This record gives sequence, C-alpha cells and structure tokens, in this order.
Amino acid sequence: MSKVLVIEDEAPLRRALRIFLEAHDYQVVLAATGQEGLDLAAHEHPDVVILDLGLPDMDGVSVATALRGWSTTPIVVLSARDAEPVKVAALDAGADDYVTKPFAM
Amino acid sequence: MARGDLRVYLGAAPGVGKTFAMLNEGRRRHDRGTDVVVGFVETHGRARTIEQIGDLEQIPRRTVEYRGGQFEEMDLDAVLARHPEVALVDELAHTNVPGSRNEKRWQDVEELLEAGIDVVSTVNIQHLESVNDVVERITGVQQRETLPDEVVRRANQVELVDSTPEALRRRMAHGNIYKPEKVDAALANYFRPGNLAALRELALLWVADKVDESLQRYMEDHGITAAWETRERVVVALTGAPGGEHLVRRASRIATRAKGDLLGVHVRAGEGLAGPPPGALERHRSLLEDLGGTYHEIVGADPSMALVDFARAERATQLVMGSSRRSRWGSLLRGSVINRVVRASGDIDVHIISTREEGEEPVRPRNPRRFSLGVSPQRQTAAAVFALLALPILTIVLTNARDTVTLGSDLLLYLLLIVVIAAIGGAWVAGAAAVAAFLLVNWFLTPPIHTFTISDGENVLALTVFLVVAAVVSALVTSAARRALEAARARSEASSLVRLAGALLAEDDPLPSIMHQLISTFSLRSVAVLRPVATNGWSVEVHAGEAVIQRPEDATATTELPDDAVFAYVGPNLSGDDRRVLNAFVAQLAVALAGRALRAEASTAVAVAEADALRTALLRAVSHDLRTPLASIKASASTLLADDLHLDDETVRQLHQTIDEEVDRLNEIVSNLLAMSRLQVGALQLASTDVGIDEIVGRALVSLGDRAGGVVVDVPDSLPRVHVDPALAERALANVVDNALAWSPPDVPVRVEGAVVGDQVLLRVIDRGPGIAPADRDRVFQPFQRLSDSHNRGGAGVGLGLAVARGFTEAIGGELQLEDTPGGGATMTFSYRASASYGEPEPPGGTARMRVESS
Repeated sequence: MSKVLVIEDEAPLRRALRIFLEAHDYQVVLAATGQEGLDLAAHEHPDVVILDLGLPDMDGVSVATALRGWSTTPIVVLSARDAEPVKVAALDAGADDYVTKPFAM
Repeated sequence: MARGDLRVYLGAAPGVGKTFAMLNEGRRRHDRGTDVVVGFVETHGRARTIEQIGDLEQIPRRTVEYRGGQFEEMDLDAVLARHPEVALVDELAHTNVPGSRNEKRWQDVEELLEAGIDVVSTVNIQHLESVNDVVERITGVQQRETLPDEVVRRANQVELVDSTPEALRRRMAHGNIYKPEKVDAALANYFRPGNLAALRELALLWVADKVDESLQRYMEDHGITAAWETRERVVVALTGAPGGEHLVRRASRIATRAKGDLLGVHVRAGEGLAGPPPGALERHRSLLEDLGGTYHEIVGADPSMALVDFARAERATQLVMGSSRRSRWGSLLRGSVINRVVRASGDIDVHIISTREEGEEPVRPRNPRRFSLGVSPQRQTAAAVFALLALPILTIVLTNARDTVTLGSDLLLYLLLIVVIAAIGGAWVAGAAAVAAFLLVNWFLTPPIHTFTISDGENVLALTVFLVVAAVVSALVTSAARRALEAARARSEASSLVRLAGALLAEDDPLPSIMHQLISTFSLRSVAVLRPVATNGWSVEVHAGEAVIQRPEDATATTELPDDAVFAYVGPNLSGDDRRVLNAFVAQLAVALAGRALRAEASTAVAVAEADALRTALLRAVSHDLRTPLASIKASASTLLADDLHLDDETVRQLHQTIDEEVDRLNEIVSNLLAMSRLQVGALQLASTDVGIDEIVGRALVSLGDRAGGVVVDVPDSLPRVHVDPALAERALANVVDNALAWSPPDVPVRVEGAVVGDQVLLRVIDRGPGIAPADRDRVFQPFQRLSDSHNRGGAGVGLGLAVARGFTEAIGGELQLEDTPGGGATMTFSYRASASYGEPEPPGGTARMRVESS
C-alpha cells in the first residue's frame, strides 16, 4: 500500500484529502506545519509528498529544498498562489508537479 | 619606507584591453630598465595578451585546494620576498579562495604598496561598489566581486581603457575575447550594444569625477583662481533690451554645443544703462530658465567690470553679449561697454552677437527717469519758493553789510544757498537760482552799484567763477541725491525679491504669502487673481486685502497671466519702476499658480494610484485567499460525488460539515470585502442606538460559532450603555476576537474585558500571541495587509478583518487602538463614549424611549 504524506495547514482541506486518499486505499500521514512534515518524511518514508506552500512556520519552497537535500520522493505542490515566478521557484526547488487550488479530485 | 604608487587601468567591460595595457606598460618600464615582475595576470587564453607578457619575469602562482578543486592565486609572500620595483597584478576586485591570507586581491595589493612596491593593476567599472546597483539594473547581472571605490580613488593614477561598443563587439565576434563557443551568448546578453554604451558612460563619468576631484584639489593647493577650461561655462549678459531672446537662444546653443552650463546675468547699474522696458527682462529671464540656464543679478557702477568679475568668479569660459545699442555719441563719451569687456576679459572668450536680426530699429528706449528721477515736482516747487524767499533776504542783509563783508564772502554765502537749493530741488532750480544770484550780486553788490556793469576786472572773474562753481555743485548734489535714491530703491527691490524668493522656496503653496507681500510692498488695498468663466464672467481664484476684486474693471490696473488669468490690484497708481518690480512678483505668481495646478493634478494622480494599488491588492487577495476555502469545498464535494468511493456515514457527515464551515468562512470574507468597499466609498449608513457592551460582546461571540470557545469574557453588567450602531460594533469586535484567536496559542484563551474610564467605555481584547512590532502597528489596520503569510487566520480572511474593525469603529464614533499585552501578546482596545444618559438614574423604560427617539 502506497504511503502519502500531506503537509497542509488548513484543517478542512487536510481532512478532505485524507478521506479521499484513504478511500483510494492509500495510507495517509498528515502534517500541519513544515517542520512536522520534514520529521514525518524522514521517519515514515512516504512514496509521495503533497505539499502546501503557505505554511505557518516555513515557506513550502524551503520545505521542498530541505526535502531534496536527502530524498528523491516525488513532491506535488498544492497552492493557492498561481503566479509564474512562484511556480518556477517551487519546481526549481525540486517539486515534481504544481497544482493550483481549488482542484478537482 | 615610502608607500608604492598604485596605477589602475579602468575598463567599462571585459575585453576592452586592460590587461593588455597593463602588460604593455610593464614591458615599457622593463625595457627602460625598471625591475618589473608579473604578480598575477589573467590572460583568459587571449593570444595577443599572452604575447605581451614576453620575457617579463612571472612569479609562480600559489595553488590552493578548496572543496576538491584546484585554484591558482597570486603568491603574495613570494612577491613580497622578491621585492621588485613594480608588480603587475590583474583584477583588483578578485575574491581570493577561502583560506587565503586576505579575502580580496586589493588587500594583497595594499600589502605590496605598504612594502614600497609600485603596483599596476586593472579593474572593471562594474566591480566598483558605488555603481554596483546601477550596473545590475543595466545588465541584469548581479556583481558579487565588488571593490570599495576608495581603493581606486586613492590610486595615484587611474587610466581609462576605452573602446567603443561597436569595436568591442567586433573584437568579440572575432573571438579575441571569449572562446568561439561562448561568443554568441555573450554578444546577445552582457555585450548588447545598449549595455556596453551604458557601462562605458558609467566608466567615463566615474573617471570624470575622479579627474574633477583631483583638479579641484590641485587648484586649491596652488591657489589658482584663473578660469580653468575644464567644462564650458557660458555667461550671457542680459540687459532687457530688444533682441534679448535672440541673444539668449544663441548663448544657449553655444552652451549646448559645448555641453556646458549657461548662466544669464543682468547688471543693475545706476549710470549709463537704461532701465529695461518693463517685462522684457523678465521674459528673457524665463526664456533663459526654460533653456536650462540660471539667472543672476548683480549690482555694479561699471557694467563692464561687473560683468567680467562675475564671469571670472563663475569660472566662465565664454561670455556672450549683444552688440552695443549706444549711439556713437554715447560710445565716444562713456566708452563702449563691449570694448572694455573685451579688454578686461583676459582668457575668457567674448562673443558679440548682433541683436538687430529681428527687424527692429536699434532704438533704445528713452530713459524716462533721466530728467525726473531723484526730485519730485513737489520738491522742485519747494526749492523754488525757498529760493524766492532766501535770495532777496540774503541780498538785503548783505547790502546793509556792504562795508564790512567783502565780495568774496558774499559769493560764498550765495554759493551755500545754491547748494541748499540744489539739495532740495535739484539741478534745474539750483541753476536758475545761481543765475538769479549772479544778477543780484551784480546789481546790488559790485561797484558800480545798481547797474549791470562791473568796473573791477577781478570782480568779473569772481562772479564768473561763482556761476560755474554753482552750476557744477548743483549738478553734483543732484546726481548724488539721485544715486542715493536709486540705491535705496535697488535695496528695497532686492530685499523684497529676496523675501519673495524665500517664500517660493520655503512654502508648499507660496501663493498666499506672495499676495500678502504684494500688498505690503506696494501699499495696495487688495489684490486678486481672476479667471474668466463661461461668458464674460470672472471667478476669483485667489485674493488678499480689504475687498474682493470681482472683475478686472474694478481694479486700478491689471496684468496678464498665463491661461487667460488676470492679476488685478486696487491701490495707488504705480510708477514705471514699481511696475517693473511688480512684474517680477507677478511672474513668480504665475509660477506659484502653475505649481498649484500641478499639485492639484498630482494629488488626483495619487488618489488614482491609491485606488489602483487597492484594486491590485484586492485582486491578489481574492485570487489567493478565496481559493483556500474554495479548495476545501471543492475537495470535499468532489470526494462526495465520486461514484467509485464507498464512504461510511460518519465520513460523509464530516465532508458535509467541512463544506458547511468553509462556505460560512467564504461568506465572512465576502461580507468583509463588501464592508470594506462600503467604508472606502463612504457609503455606510448608521443605525445608532443605545446598547449595552455586554450585548455587543454576546452577539459577536455567537457569530464566531465554535471558535468562541477559546474566549474568556469579563464584562460587568454595570457598564454604561453606549450609543452606536450595534451591528457594526458587533462586526468590529468579532473581527478583532477572530484575529486574536488566530494568533493565540491553542491552549491559552483570549480575554475580552470591559471597563469604564471617565466617560469612555473600554473593551479590551487580550491575546497571548507573538504580539505586533511597533513598526507594524499602523500597517495591520491597512486593508489586505498580513504580517506573515500564514493561512491560519480563521475567518477574517484576506487581511481585511482589522481594517474593517477599525473602519467600523471609527464610523460609529469609537476608537480602536493596539498595544502590547504585558508579558507578551497584543491587546486591542475599543473605546466608546458612554451614552448621554449615563450617570443619571435611568427611568423605567428609558432605554426603550431613547431607542425610539434615535431611530
């Protein structure tokens, strides 16, 4: 069973993502802050990371950069920001895909 | 040991040939027998550069290992040990590999210089710190290797290695600078012609600055005051005479061609020069200033010397004058100003411009004051009356004393009288009095008496001398009086113009002070600027004084202003000279009016820009923050709708709940957006009533729903009621509490406390969050501001919550202030004035009655 790490500070969205992913038989690990996400990524060895950019403690781009320091796990960025430079920065930092909120599932 | 000399080759861009020039110099010095070594040269593999090294001794480089790479650096110690006379060290701005003794190469060079070794080095303009930002703006490339300007500025010599952008690109295309594979990219990027031209200009300007500095120092050191032709400075002499526009334009062209400064000067003098026609000089002045020149006015009895002194003091290189308008007689009698200027100008070039081109006769306006100035008609009459009284009296007295007083003393007494008359009434009255005195003496005092014949030849001589002396003295006295008057007038003109100029500089809107100065300077009763409206009506734009002038017809006199406006005044009729000064004032008035119009335009522009900034912020906020709840709703809804998923009831309920909550949150954001836009257009309608603070708190907390669980309320029932719109007060409080909850740590409650101080009812919302830095305190109340990018802000959404709270609070007559919570966190304090009924015993049903009244 594949494991998905969701790093997202919005509780309602976290809940919806968890329900959806679990219904599709993924194992879901939830983190509300960047630091928590990095810790879980190190301990849980997820197969894919879903990452929000606007986190309370650190910027999502820095989370991606830190993650890429030691991991090649695919990263999908979820963000309400749709400006090109932000997308480029996230992809440069090592994200594999960029999804703009709101999104269909 | 003497410090070594530093010589720097400065280039605008890589590849202009700095290293080449440096090596070339090294070779030349070497060939002359100087001990030259190569400390470090970066040839970039350029063949011609390598060739230049030739047989110059090269100090072996030091190899440094850093992070697995091999780097070569100048071996500073080896160069110091070798101690040559001259060391060639390339790239002054180079950063040494970490672990070297000095961080930068220029510090290595400093050590060489300290050791008494002369150093020849190179640097590119983009490495100088002062131009770093400009270079980045021009080229888009950030320079990491920078060098304090001071290092290069201190160099004994800086030589610019210049190359035109075209030549540089050509050399580059030929592969002289970079290897062929890099050429195309370089030409398309850094080496674009525009970039190169801009960099070249920077380098030239920097060197020009440095040259200017050393020249200034040289001149100071050597006490040189003679004109020094570093930059052209063109002085044009303005007289206000016809043809002056042509003169100014010619001078401006001379200055422009020479890329020099343009200075206009008007010499105000007592004798000789006619006063300029009113307005002409002002026109020339404004033309000069439009053409980028500066206007100066000096006073000097001798216009030619004053002009030359001014030109010399301003370090002028060229002096432009109009051809003389003096009659041949005038030139013969007083000498031509031009001739004297040319004789005195020394090393300043003098241009004489013909000013007759505009087809007008070179007729100078007659000086109206030649005959009248200095003595008013009243004083002439007084002097004549005095003469008619004093001459007979003196004659009677002297006739009676004929035996005791000699003719010589008689004449001296008459002379005294003539001088007094001249002082009062001027030359003409004094001349007439002198002739009268001559006849009186002849008739009454010289033998034979009572005839106009004189027997003694000596008496004839004495009388003749008396007549001449009387005439000369009266002329001198008159001209002295005139000079004194002119000086006084010039002084007062100067001081009022100085005040005027001061007002223009010092004040944002100098119009009122110019108007008041006009009144006080010319003893006017009232002044106004009028502007025509519609059909033959006038509107008063500005006015000062006793009565408002409504139409130009009511004024004593008017002067045209730009854009059909008219300056009008009521007061005494002004003389020609006064009119001239008045025109100067009016010219400034026109400037001030133009300034006022521009300011009005600017403030409109600011308002538009603010609205625009708000719109941009709104769009950004909407696009970003509305999406956050939308994302949750969309995710939940699409999960619910997915056919292939089997969700249990509890999960379905959770998703429904999420949608419900997030829709509430969206709704809240939208309400705040609407509220904000209503606040910004001032379209808020108040429904004020007397209401208890506890009611407001209760309703606000209800509106927050579950989140209100983290709030502890301490609002006594006994607080006085306040007269506000309860809906707005409730919204403001809810927003503030919401914000406090967003920032508070989860386990620490937010406190809401009520208190009364004097006639103010205070409501404090206290959180224990991170607090807000003093610098940000005003910013948090601006719409669409967020201090951090956290989403974790609850329902307040797009950074509008606090802006709406403050807007609403102020709209209902309250205040919302932010301060620190002692021990950490932020405290927001609402203060409302207690309702009028506070303090009086409340009659039964009183509240209800007041509600009815106020609705």
